[in-house]
Parts: sequence; C-alpha cells; structure tokens
Amino acid sequence: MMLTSEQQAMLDGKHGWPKQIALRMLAAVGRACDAESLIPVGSVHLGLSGVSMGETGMRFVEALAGKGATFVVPTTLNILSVDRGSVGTIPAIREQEQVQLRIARACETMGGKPTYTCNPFLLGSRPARDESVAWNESATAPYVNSVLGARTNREGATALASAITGFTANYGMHLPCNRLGTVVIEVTAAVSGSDDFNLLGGAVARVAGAHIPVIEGIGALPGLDEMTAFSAAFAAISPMPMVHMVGLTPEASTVGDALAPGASRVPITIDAAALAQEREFYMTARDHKLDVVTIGCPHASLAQVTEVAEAIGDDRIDSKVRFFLQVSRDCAEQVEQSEAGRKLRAAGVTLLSDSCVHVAYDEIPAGSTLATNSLKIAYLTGSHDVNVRFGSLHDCVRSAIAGHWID
Amino acid sequence: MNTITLIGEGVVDGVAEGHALVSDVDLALSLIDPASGVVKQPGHPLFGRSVAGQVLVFPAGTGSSSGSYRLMNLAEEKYAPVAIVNVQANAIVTAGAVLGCIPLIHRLSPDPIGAIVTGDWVKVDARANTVVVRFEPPA
Repeated sequence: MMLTSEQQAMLDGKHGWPKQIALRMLAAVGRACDAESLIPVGSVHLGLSGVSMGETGMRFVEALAGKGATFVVPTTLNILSVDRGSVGTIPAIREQEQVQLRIARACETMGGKPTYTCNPFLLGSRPARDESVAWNESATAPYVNSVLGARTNREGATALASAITGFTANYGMHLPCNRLGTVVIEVTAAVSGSDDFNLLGGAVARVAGAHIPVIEGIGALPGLDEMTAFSAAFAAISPMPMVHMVGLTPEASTVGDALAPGASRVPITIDAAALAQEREFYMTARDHKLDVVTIGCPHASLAQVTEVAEAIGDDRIDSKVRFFLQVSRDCAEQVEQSEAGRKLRAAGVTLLSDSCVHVAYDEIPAGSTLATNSLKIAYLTGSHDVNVRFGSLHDCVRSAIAGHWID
Repeated sequence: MNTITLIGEGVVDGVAEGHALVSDVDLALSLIDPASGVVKQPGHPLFGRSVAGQVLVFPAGTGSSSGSYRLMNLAEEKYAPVAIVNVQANAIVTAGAVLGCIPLIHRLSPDPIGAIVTGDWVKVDARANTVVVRFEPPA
C-alpha cells in the first residue's frame, strides 16, 4: 500500500502517539483488505458506548485526549449506555455510568459533537454524494450508501482512527466496483410507513444473504423515517453495508445501472406473505404478558413521537408496563415543550435520550417480555433471555395501554 | 517431531507461539467474555473454551464492530490469544489486533483450517509471513 509522505510521517510517530496508533490501525486494515491507499474522509460518526468500550476503551480515549489528539474532520457521536438526564438514579450502575461519562468527555474534548444519537440524519448530518466517510453504527451505513450515495464501510475502532487522522483505507464501499448489486429482489407487497419498511429491511437482508441487493417494485418512494427504519433492520441481519433501491439510490436509476455484469436478472420475490413471515421470526414470547415496550430504534423523529402521542390519545400506559420512547437529546428537548410532550408525560411514557434499551447499562431483566416496532431491537433482545413481541407502532401502543399483548 | 510451514501474509507484526485453538466457524470477538477469555458465542464450536494464551485460528471475524475493543480489553486483562491466524482478516479483527498488540497473519497456504489442529504447537511469525506447526508439543 502506498502512503503519502504525511501519512508515513504519522506512522513513524512524527505527529505524536495518537496519530501513530490511529494510522497503524488504518494501514493494517488497508493491508488486510488490499487497499492501495488511504483516502481522506469528509466526516466521522463515532461509536462510544460504554458497554462496547469498557474501562479499557475509556483509558484509551482518555490517553488519546491527554496526548492532545483532536478530531480533524466533523465527528458526530453515537448513543451512550446511559441517559445523561438520569445519571445517578440507579445505584447498581453508578460506577459504570462514570466510565461512560468519562468516555464521552474525552471524545468531546477531542472535538466530537455531543449528538449522542444513532440517527444523526435527523440532525441534518448528510454526507454528500460520492463523498467517502467513516461512519460507525451499522444501522447508518445502508442509509449513507444507499440513500445519500456517499461511501462508508461498516466501521468500528477504525472510525476513531479516521477521526484522528482524517483518512480511511480505500477498500470495500469506497470503490465503485464493489458497490454493484449481485442479486435482484422484486417487492410485490405493498409497503408504506416506517413499520412496513422496517420489516422489508429484514426480509431483504434475509433473502440477499451476503449479496448487495437491487430492489425493484417499490411503489411510492420512501422518505427519511421509512429509510432509516429500513437501514437499521437491514443492517441487523445482513453483513452488507448497502442496497440499491431503484429510483431512490443515486446509482440505481434502473436495475441495469446497479447490477454487476454477469449477475442474474431473475428476481427473488418478496410478497405480503414473506413480510408477514418475517415478523413471526422474532416473536419469541409464548404468552400475552407484557413488561416493557420500546419505540424509537433508530431514534424517533418528531413526527414519530407525535404519532405515538396521537395513538395514545387520552389513554394511559398500564401501570405494570414500562414504555420507553427513544430519541436524541435534541428531539427530547423539543418534545418536552410541546403538546405531545405533555400528553406523553401524562400517559406515563418515558423519553429515553442519548441511549436505548439495547446498549443501556440498565438492562431489561431476564424473563421479561418486551414489545417493540423495531426489528433490530426484536432481533438483539431476543438473544438475551428476553421474550419478544414484534408488532407495529399501533400494536405496541394498544398493548401497552391494555397491559398485555393484543394480537 | 513433524513440522510443516504455512506461508501467508502478515497483517499485524509480531512473533508468538503457543497451543492452537482452531475453529472452522467465523468468530464474533465481541462475544468473548472479557473477564475470562471464554467464548460465549451461542452455538459456536469453541463455546465455553478460553482463548487466553492460545494461537487462535478461525476463518474470519463476524458480529459487532465492538469486537476490536474487546480484543484490546482481553489483552489488558491477560486473557487475549497470543496470536491470531485468519483465512481472511477483516477490519474488526485487524484493528483489534493492532490495539491489543497481537500478531495477526492471514491468506496462508496450505489452508490453516485443517493444516492446524487444536492442541498443535504453533509459531506465528507475522514479519516472516510464516506459521510453523509442530504436531506434538515440545517436552
């Protein structure tokens, strides 16, 4: 791999330890993945949850900040393992909360924007077409690649390295030849609204396997809320960071534009029955008990918050059920001053900011039954001794009011 | 003592040796217990086995990108493998090996899955691009 003289100087330690360790990561990944060079990135979205990084990660980012590291490109910060608004209220997790807060502080010191959301698109963060970026949080990658036509791989610790150096290894989704689809999927089911597109994301991922799919047959093209829901579900099941949705993806005006030479044009069909079947995969609950409801994975938009408030109406969440509505801090602040916010508080809904039930230190107790409208949450919590009900937003709200799951 | 030498590509520099722990199934580093080095990935052939001090041989990394930090964590707690051998290294394993200072090599010939068996004594030299396998541990 060819390094520029600037990159070589970083690797040789001439720009200090933080840039050296960061460049070492990028150069090794580049070598492993046959990158010919390291290329500039326009922005970084950085994962920093305490459950992922632990105390080791905390010491690492504090050492980086202590040695003067700064983020040299605009860097937004992903969700935390704690809601900053409720720190200290649960004695059992007080020490862990401090680990998370120290990680967050170090990342802010280096220049990270305190967005603390898995849905930075709602805050106006939109990489440009053909721009290379390094975005952590797997749920964001399909949106970046497929909707915006920008370029990111699914990043981990390498996103931190990119924030510090401004570079990433030129492989995977950064190369146009790797972005072409290799399987065609025809959607004959009618899909509209976030819940439908969430389900579709899972169904597409399931049939596409390790292929980048080219999806045709979508009637009305989805908007931001629909596609962030699609992306989160797709990324939970598929290892791939991209889909082509014909007419929506900038590189997919037609099926032919998006499909790799030699790939079969014979489509796999996803019909209404396949979508219904997809929902059943995640239903692990065997009775109608209900303990926790969570909406807002990825973090809900103002429109989705309003939809929840309207669905609840003048009713109240049953007192046995904990109802979490997951949002960014920015969204929560807007909601709290609104009529919807007043309604939600009165109904017993908890706005969970900065975080989500999956990465929170405050874990859902084993044996609980959780209902959600998010395929990703259903999939992830289903592997944690928690029973799952996976329905629409309206199914979840109706059931939460009743205090038990309503089919 | 029988030995064979596998030739590949070093990804993260270093030399280390130890007993091999081999699986033909992709491994999620994020599902290794940081407090013990034991594999907790449901259904994985290495489930319940500790990677601590072993030369860990598997096709490729999978699962959460937080696996890189897990490898760093394991190294700090002395539960990390002494070296990693992959069929194809990915970004999660590679970044983690850099952070944990763990030698990493991949693209070996012959295929390490099969050429190396759990319990073999293995020496990984990522700089020389070689893995030397001894069929019986030294006395």
